[in-house]
Amino acid sequence: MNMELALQTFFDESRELLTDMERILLQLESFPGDAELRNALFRCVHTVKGSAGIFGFQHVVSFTHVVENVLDRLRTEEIHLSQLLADLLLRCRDHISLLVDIADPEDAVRLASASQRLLTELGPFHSVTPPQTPQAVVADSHQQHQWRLSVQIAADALRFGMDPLGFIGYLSRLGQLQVTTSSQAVPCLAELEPESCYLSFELALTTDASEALIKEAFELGNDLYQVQLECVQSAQLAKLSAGPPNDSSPELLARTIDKDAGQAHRRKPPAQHFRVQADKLDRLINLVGELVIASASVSLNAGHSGDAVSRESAANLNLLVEDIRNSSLELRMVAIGETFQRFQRVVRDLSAEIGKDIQLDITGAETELDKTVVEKIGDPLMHLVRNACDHGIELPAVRQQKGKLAQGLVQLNAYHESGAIVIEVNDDGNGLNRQKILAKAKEKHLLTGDGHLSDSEVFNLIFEPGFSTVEQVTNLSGRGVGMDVVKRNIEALRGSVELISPGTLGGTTFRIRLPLTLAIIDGFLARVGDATYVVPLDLVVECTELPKALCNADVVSTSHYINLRDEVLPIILLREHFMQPGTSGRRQNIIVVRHGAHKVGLVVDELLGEQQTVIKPLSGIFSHVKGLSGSTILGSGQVSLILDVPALLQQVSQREDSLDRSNNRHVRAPLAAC
Amino acid sequence: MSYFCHFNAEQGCLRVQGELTIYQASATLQAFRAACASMQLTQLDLSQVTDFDSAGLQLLLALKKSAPEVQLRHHSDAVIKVLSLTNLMTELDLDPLSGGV
Repeated sequence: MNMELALQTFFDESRELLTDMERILLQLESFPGDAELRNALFRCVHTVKGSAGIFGFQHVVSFTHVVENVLDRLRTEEIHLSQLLADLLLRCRDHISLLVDIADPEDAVRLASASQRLLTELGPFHSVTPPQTPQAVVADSHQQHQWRLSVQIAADALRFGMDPLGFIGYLSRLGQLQVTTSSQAVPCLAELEPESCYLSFELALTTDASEALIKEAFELGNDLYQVQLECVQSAQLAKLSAGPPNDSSPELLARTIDKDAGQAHRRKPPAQHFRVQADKLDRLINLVGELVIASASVSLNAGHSGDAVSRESAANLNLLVEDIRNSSLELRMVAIGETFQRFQRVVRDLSAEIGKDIQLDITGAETELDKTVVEKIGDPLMHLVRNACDHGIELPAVRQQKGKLAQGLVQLNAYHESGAIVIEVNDDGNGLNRQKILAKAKEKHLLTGDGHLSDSEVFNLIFEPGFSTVEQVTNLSGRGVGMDVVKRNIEALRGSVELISPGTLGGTTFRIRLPLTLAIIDGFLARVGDATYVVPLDLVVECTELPKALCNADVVSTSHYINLRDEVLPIILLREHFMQPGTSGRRQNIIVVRHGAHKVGLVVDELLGEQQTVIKPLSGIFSHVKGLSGSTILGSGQVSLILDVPALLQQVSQREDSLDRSNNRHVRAPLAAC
Repeated sequence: MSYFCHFNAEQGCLRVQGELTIYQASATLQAFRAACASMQLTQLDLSQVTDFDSAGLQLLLALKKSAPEVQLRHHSDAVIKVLSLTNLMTELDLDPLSGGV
């Protein structure tokens, strides 16, 4: 296995294990009697220590060794998990995570004092035997190890100025070096590319130098060399050493066996995973996108040719492509649970800091959404959760006065709804104070005029830049940055956020709606004049013909509403909206779309049917055009625009408001200018 | 320039003078090919090589592969250093004990 790759695996695995460790510690606080949890906790740290040892990260090993020792005593019930110890262990976990991230032992010096402080704090919980690792490290450095290196060199190495003689020279100075040069790959003169490198080397090195020192030989030409490094044996095997990779003391041996047993235990679940580089996956998705476009073009041409056989083949191909598209998009889907889980710790630490007692409830952790969306939603969620804890939940005394439980509740909830994922952050705290927000908005000149505002409009003011109502600014939130950033981040993901008060739990509810994926969607294609538009199929409720009586453009464009089975439906004339020239045909159709609780009818000339759509971003010059979220390429090679339904709906509600105002007060609000 | 390739067809001897590194690799390759094509090349004189790197090493290996009968002679110190480091002395006609043929 490639060294680089193995190292990456180590980092990934350690990160996972440390996440587990945090989760287990928090669980253990609630269920201190659970022996299985205590064992699992020990295994996490033990495995991190073991792997770190294999890679020669002594700074990680020497610290985790002590933590492991404490956890071992916890496991055997020699000590108990007090609040103090739990706090300390959580801080140790953070510290290990720092140590692992640093990786380079040279840089670890910076963290040495922090390590020492934590170790001193761990002292009382620690068993009588002093940590043997530091001494072992010293002993280790006097030991001669035999290393075997196999080096493959990229053909371009010489062109980049990397000469393999460089690292051979370096290694020969570290100890006794035996070189076997493999020259079979060098071709005869006729075929020789004089500046390409054909050589590869097998090296045997006997040295007391550390692994990191050996690796330094390849530091410069990192991606040009493929190095396999293997420690064959210690020259002084008999000498007792706690330093990995040769754990030979009986105690450590016992633990190693234990670890193996633990791993076997962990590997039991039937779901098997293997790691794939994210950029490989992204490339696959891009290719699938191109495939979708190409297959659309195939079926279009087959349809034009009028040949039944090719039409059938094209239809088959289309079905397959759709399957491929769905399964490859599924590859990118991850459960949101892991992101939610992170907030347990946040809430725990936060409530201690601000003197509140808050519980975090998680539901819908298994709800899946696109990896890129998950990555980007973490920060906005963090703001909202902190906000709920800091502003939403009251102090315990205040809560009791109001007759609520002293313990506040924050709830994270996720579920799917018509092609979108909904994430809610609920709290059972204060709720929002309409008067306070209005006053603040006026003070900050966010509000001009004194037009009547609906509740939701008032609440949404807190998403304005530079808005904050809390009198006392804490270091957690309330600095007036944040909410506008939250909104912007969510909108960048083609999502939306709304605020409901009183919310599900009586306090405030933030409801975030996000599209399931950012890459490819099922679209519904419609034509207006010469242009075609795509509506995300998941949002389409129904299609119907515009009643003949209303086809007269004047009627529709003046009323903006139609009666659809006794329901008032606001409509948007796409032709008018995008200022397309020409007049509508005799027959027009309505596509009824829905986003959240709102519906709107889009009036188009012709319905063209379902179409797989690869979303391509619109260039910056279109950024001021509202109501478009992207573009796509049709099978014919024609460009079609994707409608941004949430934005269209927003325009409708603004239009309504401005109409209301102009009717009632004869004032035109600036919002109407869209 | 510090680089010069001279082919004495009568003696069948090609002499490389100066640096034999990646910067001269193309030119040297041309000289090697031409000398081999003349069918008269029997030995390569390395006594005047002042600088030698992996690209140079590959050229010698390729020459040996194309024309095993060509003898490499009078290895200069620069060449000996590389050959002993890479453990290719016997392959490239350098007696490990005497340090030159």
